[in-house]
Amino acid sequence: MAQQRALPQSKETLLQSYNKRLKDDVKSIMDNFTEIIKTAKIEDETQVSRATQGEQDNYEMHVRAANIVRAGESLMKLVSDLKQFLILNDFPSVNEAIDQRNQQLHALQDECDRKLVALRDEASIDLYELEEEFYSSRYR
Amino acid sequence: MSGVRAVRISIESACEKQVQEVGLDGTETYLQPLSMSQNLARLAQRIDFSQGSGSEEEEAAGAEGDAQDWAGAGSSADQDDEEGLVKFQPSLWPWDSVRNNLRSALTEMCVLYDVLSIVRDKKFMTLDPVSQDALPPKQNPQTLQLISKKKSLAGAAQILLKGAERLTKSVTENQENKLQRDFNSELLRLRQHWKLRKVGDKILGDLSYRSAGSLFPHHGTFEVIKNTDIDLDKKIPEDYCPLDVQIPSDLEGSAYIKVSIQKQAPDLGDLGTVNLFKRPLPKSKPGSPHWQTKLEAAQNVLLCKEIFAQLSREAVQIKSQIPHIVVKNQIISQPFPNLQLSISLCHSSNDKKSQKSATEKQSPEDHLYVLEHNLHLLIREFHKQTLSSIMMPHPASAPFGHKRMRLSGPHAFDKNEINSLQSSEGLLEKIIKQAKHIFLRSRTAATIDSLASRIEDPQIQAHWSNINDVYESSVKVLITSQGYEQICKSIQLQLNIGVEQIRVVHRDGRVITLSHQEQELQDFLLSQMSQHQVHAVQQLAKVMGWQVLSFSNHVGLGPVESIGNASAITVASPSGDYAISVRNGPESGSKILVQFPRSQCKDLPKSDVLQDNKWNHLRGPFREVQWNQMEGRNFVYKMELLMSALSPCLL
Repeated sequence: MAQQRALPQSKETLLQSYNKRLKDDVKSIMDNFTEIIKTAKIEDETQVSRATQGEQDNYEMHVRAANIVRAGESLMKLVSDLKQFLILNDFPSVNEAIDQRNQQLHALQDECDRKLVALRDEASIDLYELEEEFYSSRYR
Repeated sequence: MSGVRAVRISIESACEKQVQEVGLDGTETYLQPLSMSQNLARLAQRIDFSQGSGSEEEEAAGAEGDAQDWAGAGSSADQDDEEGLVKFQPSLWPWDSVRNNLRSALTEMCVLYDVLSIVRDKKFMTLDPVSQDALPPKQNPQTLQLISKKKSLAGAAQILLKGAERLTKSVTENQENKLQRDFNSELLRLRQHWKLRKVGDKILGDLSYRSAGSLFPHHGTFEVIKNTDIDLDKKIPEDYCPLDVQIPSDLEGSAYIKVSIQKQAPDLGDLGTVNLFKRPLPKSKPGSPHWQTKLEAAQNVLLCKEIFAQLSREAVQIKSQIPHIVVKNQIISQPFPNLQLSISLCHSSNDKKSQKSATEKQSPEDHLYVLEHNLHLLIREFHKQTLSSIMMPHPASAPFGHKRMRLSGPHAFDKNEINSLQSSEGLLEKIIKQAKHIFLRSRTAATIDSLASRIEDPQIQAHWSNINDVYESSVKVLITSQGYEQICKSIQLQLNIGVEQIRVVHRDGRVITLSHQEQELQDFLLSQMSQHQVHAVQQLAKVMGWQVLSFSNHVGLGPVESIGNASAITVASPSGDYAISVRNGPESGSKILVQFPRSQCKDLPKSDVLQDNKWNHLRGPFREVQWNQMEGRNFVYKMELLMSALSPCLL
């Protein structure tokens, strides 16, 4: 709870909206399904003609089925949104990654430094002899 | 009594059952034998004969009469008995209700029998099966409705199945390709390397160095794009990545800072021309590069721009004797006379046009990579400074720093000390200093090398130190003679090359400061070389057992040298018969004279004073040696030969 409260206002509202979306979508699936089942019941008395009624029921069912599918897709989107939100706002893990990278780079730097120093020493020893040889040769 | 009744009931029921069934269903009669008796009675009761037509009533009455006849005398007797019983015990009789029911049943049976008999005769009444046409019109709309509902339910189910299939497909595909092509995992990897934030629907990233302390105003924002429009059925290219980045157009391509030092000032027409030669970039695949390389390139462009902006700002602000020139993408400065340092920002975008022009304008490779690298280091240091000065808590009323800076009174710093503490040296000044140093170093090396190649005797050896600073490096110069390195170690110089000048430290601790002019160094070295020869003779004399009669580094006599002074030495042979005098000047060269004993000089005029034989041991006059015609590969060797020739053979 303390962490939740520590979140800034916008994040809070965003999380709430995610919650609301989840509930809305699940509710929509449920409602549409019940409505389809209700529509499936055969009723004798209708005020409009049977053909119209049938057509309307048909259409309604299709729309409701499509609504269910849409809610499902929306849930998938919600899942991906949540993932994104987590990825973008998971600062502890980001800090961990940064620390890790820091260490890695430091190790790399140390290694490079060590190698460079060794190379320098080796080269300077060789250079001294080469210089000696060069300046006393005919090719100077 | 009761036994008689029971018999009657069974008979009647069996008989009535059959009749009843026929009336209702037409076919099925014997399926429900016993319970139907009650049912039958009820049904019979429902038949209201009183409501029928008059003729029916009459018929019914007739039938009743028949029934009574059919029932016989027994039944009438029963009726009498029962009436009597009711009179005596109206409510207590246990079988009263049974009897009543039975009676009414009997009545109804009789009525039924009559009806059936009438129906059977088919005189007055016929029973036809009820026509079925009436029902279908009633059921038809319902079946229609059923069918239509079924259809629409099937349609809805189809839609649902399709949607479910799509969902499962996307889920499984995600799992299959998780390793390579999952947007979220890519995003996670991106998040670990770069700053990201969500603005509305977009994900924006930050590639500026602001968090590292940069004050460059460029916002450096890039956008993360979900690149999932690819057709999943087709073959997916190898380097496909579901995540792509959109970088600002002014940060595209590649950039670097080119630092070069040119000897002479270019003609003014050349000023500011953009020399965009392109360094051979690592060959990228024709497809879009990976986001990481893209972002790193963009960040590099941003950093280069920042460095250049900082440099040009300083170039304009700093007052120097020769003003720095900033033209387009080039900064020109003159560290030394006749020498110009040019720092230019080369930014090439990836389009073909600039590449083509870049290849045409390939200029000679005079790029100083060390300075470019140092510029990067400097700007990072600068970032760090701003970051630390901002971050650290410091008093609002006073600058943060050494405690003595805030003190007043006798312990306080004076202005110069404070100034020295606050090194407000800018990027440009630092890089110019470094460039000066680099130039001075390379010129020193060139001078030494040219001297070494020009003058074979004595030898110059230069040993460069491996420990350097960006503003200082050192070289050790040895002047020796070949073959005599061990005995001729007289001249060892340590040259400390700074920014503006060269400090020469002798082996004996003398320090000479030379300016950046190469001539000074050259002259100095020449004079040192000439001194070396004389020093060598001195060393040689010690080895050969000769005596040093006189030695002078700076001879006041003889022709005046334009560079330094001539030096001279005179040595005498161990026996004292011969003496060699050497005078060596940097310009005039060496002059060697040998003094013979008087006895060996035949052409000496006889003196009247020196008659005695002992005077023959006095030395005679000097004669110059034809040094060029002496054998030997160098000066010291020749000298050794000469000395050994003049020494008496000990054997």
